[in-house]
Amino acid sequence: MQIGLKLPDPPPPKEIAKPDEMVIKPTLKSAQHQHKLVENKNKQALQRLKALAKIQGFREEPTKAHQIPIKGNKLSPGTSLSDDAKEGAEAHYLDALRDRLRENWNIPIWLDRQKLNATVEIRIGLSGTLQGLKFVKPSGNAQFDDAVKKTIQLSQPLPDPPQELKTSLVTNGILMGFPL
Amino acid sequence: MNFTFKVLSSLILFLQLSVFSVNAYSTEKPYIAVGSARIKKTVLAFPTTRTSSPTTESLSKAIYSTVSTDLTFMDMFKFLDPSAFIEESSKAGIVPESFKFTDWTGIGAEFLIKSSLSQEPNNTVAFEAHVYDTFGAKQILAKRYVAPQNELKVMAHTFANDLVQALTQLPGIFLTKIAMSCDISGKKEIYMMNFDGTEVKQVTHHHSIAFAPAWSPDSTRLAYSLFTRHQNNIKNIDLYEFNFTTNTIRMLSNKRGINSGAAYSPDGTHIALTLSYLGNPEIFSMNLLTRQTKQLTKSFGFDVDPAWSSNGEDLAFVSSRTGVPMVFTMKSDGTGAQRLTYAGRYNATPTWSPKNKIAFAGWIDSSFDIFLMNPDGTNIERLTKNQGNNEDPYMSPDGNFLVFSSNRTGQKNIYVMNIDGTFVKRLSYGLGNCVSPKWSNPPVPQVSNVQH
Repeated sequence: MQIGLKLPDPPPPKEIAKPDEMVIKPTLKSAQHQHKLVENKNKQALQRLKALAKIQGFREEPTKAHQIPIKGNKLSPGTSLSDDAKEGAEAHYLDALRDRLRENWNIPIWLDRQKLNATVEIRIGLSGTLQGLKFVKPSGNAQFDDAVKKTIQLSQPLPDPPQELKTSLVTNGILMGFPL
Repeated sequence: MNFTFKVLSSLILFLQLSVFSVNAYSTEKPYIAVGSARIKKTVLAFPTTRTSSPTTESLSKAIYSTVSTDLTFMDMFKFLDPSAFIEESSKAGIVPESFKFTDWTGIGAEFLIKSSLSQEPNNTVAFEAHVYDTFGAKQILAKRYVAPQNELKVMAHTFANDLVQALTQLPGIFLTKIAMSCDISGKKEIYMMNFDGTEVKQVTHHHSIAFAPAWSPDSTRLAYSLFTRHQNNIKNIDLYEFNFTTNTIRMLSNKRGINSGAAYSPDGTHIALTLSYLGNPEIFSMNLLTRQTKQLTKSFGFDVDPAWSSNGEDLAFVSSRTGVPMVFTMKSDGTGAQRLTYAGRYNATPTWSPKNKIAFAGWIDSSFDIFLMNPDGTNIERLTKNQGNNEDPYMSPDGNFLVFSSNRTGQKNIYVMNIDGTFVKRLSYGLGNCVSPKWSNPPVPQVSNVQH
């Protein structure tokens, strides 16, 4: 008696499709449908372009009318800047003013060693002319205060104030510390 | 309900007022800090002194030399070269209205010294000086000095002092002296010299160790300590005083132990000093009239080197009460002791300036150096560095200079520097090791006759 094991038959191999074979090729019907879609899109695009052209034409027409000096339709150049711009202009001017004063700010050694300090208020006219000078806090030393006065006088004409500071520098003035 | 209404009304009123006050201050002025000024030397013009004879012409050159040397020492002034002068001296005078300020402002002279020198009876000379602020077109000083010919230098120093006073409002230092202790004799004796190191004179001849000199406020007396021997040959350090008016010496204090580190009070009535007769070195105040002493410090450490403030209300001193010696201040009655310094291994010899600064010597790295600080210990500035040991700082009476001892050349010598540490100049030569320099106040004018 022969005892033998019989292995089961292997299953038939599964057909594994390659990826490109997975693309369903369009049938004739679907190709016609696609063509219609493209045509529609082109039509819509043309319509939009025509509409846009009409709108553009409408906007360009009034340009001639703009040349007519109608006050209500015109932007004024403005008399004030935004807060940031104004601060920038002010800081720039104050730097220029300090630089001008520093050119003439010198004192003898003995005054420097006394570590004196004075605060003055000056008013500056439209073209940088000195309109007024007063000691808000004198140093207590006449020579030092004279040197401060001389520095301001020698620094004339002072830098021309920017538009946005013109009024305040004449009416309110500016405080200056010598040296701090 | 009524109450609530009132509260609301008040609140609204308060808010309105707040808004109003904000508006009232909303027009704040811009502010500029101009910053530190450039420092400049003041430009002086000192044209030739008008003279009447060859003798006075020669003397006038000596006056010019002394005045210009004095002012140059200050490191604040510079003289215009005479070749730059454009004034026709033959046509111009020395009094106001007799010359043109523009002749001087045009060449940059800020101040102008016009003068004349004439021979007077009894071998005296008269020096008339006018000082002008040229840019201000005004006279700031006009004086006539009359002196014997042999005191010409003193007269020139006096004029230079007046000139500095007129320009800076600070006393001139050109008649001040510096006392010090030097060992050229083999022992240590007290010497003195002019502010610029000239005219050195030996003051004491004890053939012992004389040290720690201190000027009286009127510069007529000099206190110093001296190694002596008491009964039974016991060594002691006593305090003496030399009187320049009478050329006499008197003993001020000979208590057992240390009687040292004297400092006259600004009014000249007291001396602050260190005494150790109680065991520990402590600072005392001694009334010079009654010789009574009052103990000002009492600590476990030693308390030495007292230095008065200009107004006499405070004393700076050195104390080791916290371990290492540090600078302290206290009221002149001994109350309110405050520690000023915390850095360094040894801080010593404080000196108080008329401009209310305290200088001291501090052992900071491997040597002593000079430091300057506010009277509350803040804002410490180092004035010397890498120049050997620099010790014993002492302020000039105008507060512009510090005199000190230094071994930067090997031997200890006396040096002077500006209060900012610049312009260091050696003053002592050939006196051996010199230490403990002390600067006198300007004396009472010594010129025979000064007419204002």
